[in-house]
Amino acid sequence: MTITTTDLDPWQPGGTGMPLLQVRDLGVSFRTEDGSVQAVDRVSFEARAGELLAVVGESGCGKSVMALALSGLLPGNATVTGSVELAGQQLVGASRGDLRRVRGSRIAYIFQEPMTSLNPVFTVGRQVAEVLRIHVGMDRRRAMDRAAELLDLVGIANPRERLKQYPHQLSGGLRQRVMIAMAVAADPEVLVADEPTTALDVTVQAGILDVLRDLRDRIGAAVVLITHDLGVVADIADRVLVMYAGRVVERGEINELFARPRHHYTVGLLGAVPTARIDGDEQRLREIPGLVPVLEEPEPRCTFADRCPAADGICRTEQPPLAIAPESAHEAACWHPAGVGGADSAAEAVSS
Amino acid sequence: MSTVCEVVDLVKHFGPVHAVDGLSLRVGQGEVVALVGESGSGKSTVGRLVVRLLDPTSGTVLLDGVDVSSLSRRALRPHRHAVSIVFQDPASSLDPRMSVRDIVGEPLRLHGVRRADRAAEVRRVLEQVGMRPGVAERYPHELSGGQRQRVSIARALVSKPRLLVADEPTSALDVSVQASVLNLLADLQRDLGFACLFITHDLAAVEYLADRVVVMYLGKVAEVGSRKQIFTTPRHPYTQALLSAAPVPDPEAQRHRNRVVLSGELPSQLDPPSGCRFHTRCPLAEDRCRTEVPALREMPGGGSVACHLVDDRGAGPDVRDTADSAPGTETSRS
Repeated sequence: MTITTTDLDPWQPGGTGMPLLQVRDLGVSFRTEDGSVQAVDRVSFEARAGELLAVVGESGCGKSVMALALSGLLPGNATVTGSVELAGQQLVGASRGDLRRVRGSRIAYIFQEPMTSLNPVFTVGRQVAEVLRIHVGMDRRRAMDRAAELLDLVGIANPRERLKQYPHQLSGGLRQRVMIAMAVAADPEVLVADEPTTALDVTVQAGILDVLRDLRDRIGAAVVLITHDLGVVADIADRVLVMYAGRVVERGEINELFARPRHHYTVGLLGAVPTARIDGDEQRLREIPGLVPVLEEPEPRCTFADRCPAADGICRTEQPPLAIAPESAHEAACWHPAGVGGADSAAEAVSS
Repeated sequence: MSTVCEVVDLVKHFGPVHAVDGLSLRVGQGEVVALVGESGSGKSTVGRLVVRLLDPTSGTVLLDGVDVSSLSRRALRPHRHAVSIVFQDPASSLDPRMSVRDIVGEPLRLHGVRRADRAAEVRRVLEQVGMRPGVAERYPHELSGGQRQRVSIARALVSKPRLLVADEPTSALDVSVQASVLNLLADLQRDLGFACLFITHDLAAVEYLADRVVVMYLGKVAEVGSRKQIFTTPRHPYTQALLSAAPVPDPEAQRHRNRVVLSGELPSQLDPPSGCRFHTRCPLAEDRCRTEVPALREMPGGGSVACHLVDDRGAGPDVRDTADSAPGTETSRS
């Protein structure tokens, strides 16, 4: 594979680069016919150059809404508060014109279903080239040449031939590679991938994850990967943000967080993934009882309390701050962190 | 172990599309057989053929020794209660205008069970799937995804089937909800002892639930084996690749395993490859693989495999040995 990206930055993988995206107290609420819904509640994080940050959570945790809010992609009934700074530029409250210039060129998105993101009546080449013509200002010929290079960059064989094809002529995995090529066409500083492999088979997914890993390392973008799949997170993330009911409940470096989960929701999530059953052993998967609450407004409590095995009075009256958890090197928002004092979380998961 | 369901040389073509091409499998009493494959492998078509939602192009489906694939609709009716199916998406497989009571009781109504007797049965089966009796008055839109799937399972079990076909029953659910549905299926299967054909692409769920595993690729069986054998010593290169591609939620382990990234994608079922159907993506393919169709051969010590590279003792190469363990460097790509 040839690398043709113009200015390669020497960022190390693992996010030693500078923070490109700084999100502080991001909040999103929607006005609906049935009242208001607080979808995202004071989420803060930063994404650094050359780093892959995974945002993990189940349906309704606010991860996708958060991703769209970063560049003002939400519908008119949404109210966004807080701060999103892209290399110093404030995006919350920015004008539509400014946001339009930012999207596609400095912050780019890849969505779950590539078929709905590609235009069925134009060739792949025309669509990739369009990004280059609009955001980079290339002429038609140069844009086509560069489009072929980009398809090569994302691992598509015979790129010249593929450029002439229409989306329906490509498989799901190839379409997703085309989407990635379009997303990185203008050398964005931040690449947001919202469930990019969820619609794909595992053997195809493995290839797409390799492309994302490769891009993180080679073009030095900050990659924000939104996913529900803990296996994907374990495979590719440098840092993780666990979201529940609109809030960040735990965040930290990948190995550390998976080895010592301190929030009971994270412990539950990890314990819910099916594992090998040992013959004769009546092993059960961990279930998380109850449902995700729908919040009308920020509540001064732990939103997981009603489903939590460790909750007591304080959990229902005061919101736990996101702070370095005991006996760990990462942050959790929990009054009674799991696995502290020798009772490690793996033992807890088995005994429950 | 007596055989509940036996499928012999099953073929299903949709016009030019070869969805299932000569598949045989057996599900014994009280056994969970996982049918694993990726999209386009034909696994869901097999499920629909087994419950006779589709008629096979050729081949037979035996339920308790009776060939149901050739029975007329009318003659089939007494056998319908012996087999049930649970679908992937409960939102689209439950009628939104019917109450849970009517949904779960419908199979009994179709068998001519009287209303009063139905109510008791519905209550019994709802309790079995862990739902309160009050749920019977509710409608699907009032339930969460996990509750809806419990209703689907209740509907499938109300007629006390001998065989339950579960087609991706947890794929549309969140992981914490998925865990409760998998636990439920495991409990019910152990308590009620039905045979289960568990169709899925989720290898983690297979490892949790299945006794035996049938791996399908492009309409054919690539490999059959016990859960333990498939997950510890897979023989077919496709099984090996599939296992290596499914990420495990353990960063240390995940980043130090040998991963195989297969080149290309599933070929078209309109024009399946000659010889071994996997040869276009197999990193180990030889000349013979391109021309000769490998037979599914039984292996000493159990299991069977359709691969030229596996010898008669069950030994063969492992594609994972060709892979590089460091992520980011690939063996091959499309």
